Amino acid sequence: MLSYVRMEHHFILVKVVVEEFMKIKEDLNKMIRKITDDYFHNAIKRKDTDLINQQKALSYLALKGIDVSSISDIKKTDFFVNIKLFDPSSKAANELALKTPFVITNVSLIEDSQELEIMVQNNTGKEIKDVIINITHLKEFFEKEIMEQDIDLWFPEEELLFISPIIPNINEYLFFITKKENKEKILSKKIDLKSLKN
Amino acid sequence: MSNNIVKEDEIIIRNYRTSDYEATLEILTQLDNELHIGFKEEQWKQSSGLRQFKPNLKRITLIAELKSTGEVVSMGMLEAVKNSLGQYVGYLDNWSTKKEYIGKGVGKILADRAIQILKSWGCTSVRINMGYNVSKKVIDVICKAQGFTPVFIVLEKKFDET
Repeated sequence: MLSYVRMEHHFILVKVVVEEFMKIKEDLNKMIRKITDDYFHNAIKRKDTDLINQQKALSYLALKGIDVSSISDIKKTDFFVNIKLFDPSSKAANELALKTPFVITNVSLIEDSQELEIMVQNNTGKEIKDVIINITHLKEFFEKEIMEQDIDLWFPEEELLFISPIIPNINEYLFFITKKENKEKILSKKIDLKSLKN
Repeated sequence: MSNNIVKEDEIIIRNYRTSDYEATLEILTQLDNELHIGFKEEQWKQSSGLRQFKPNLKRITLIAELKSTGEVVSMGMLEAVKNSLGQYVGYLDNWSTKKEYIGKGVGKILADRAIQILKSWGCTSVRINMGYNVSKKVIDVICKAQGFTPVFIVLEKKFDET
């Protein structure tokens, strides 16, 4: 009889403990839900604003012809950002970087010899084979070629110098890099002599 | 590396990079001091040695670099110029080696590579302009080592610089 009473007493105690635990669990759940809702709501809002500004800046720099690939390498310190719940910026930056594999590193006008020097770097990180360089100018709505040059092999990071004669009274020139195989243009750039003279 | 001859596998022959500017400036200044080639420091720019393309002209500056130390020990420019008959003729210019590496075979390795490149560009011949007073011994060495033959005498008149 005594043992039965003890067992019942233990059973009641366990029941009380379980009930208390369930109450604590429910309270904890409520707290976590409230804290995470507030925190993530604010964090996502903050992150979204940053991304919109970043994407605007990337678009502006890309339109200016500036290489933006390095932006994707910026180390982020905010621990929340590292969770990468929503990070389209890295993809956007990589795509933009792929569109500028060749960079015009310098354009200069040699007044004495009436020549235009265009320095271009292979930024693809690999050897480029069989491309054609064209320098043209526009005259009365027609594109006239001044120079065409085959490049069989272009080493990674190598800078090449293209020297074109200047045509009297022509200020706008076009520089193209085209794949020999499929005639795909991989770089086109307008060069305005007026801006070089200023 | 042996004390006398630099072996082909001890050096790297490559195209000029803008980072070679200082080394090439030193070599060209040494050459000018020795042979008065008319080199002017202000006209040798960082971009001067890059692979150049102009209508009817291609130019490369080759660099010989020691594999073990990365030291630039020799340089030479090669050009392919389209003549009035539409043929490309190759030229070797400003061939120069650091004093302490002269006579160790570096220039020959560089010239062999240059001739290969000029052939691949479709040149029909290759020429070297040398000083009129150059010793017969130097001419003989080049002719024997590379198969050149003396064919031209070039006359030059310098204009006054104003």
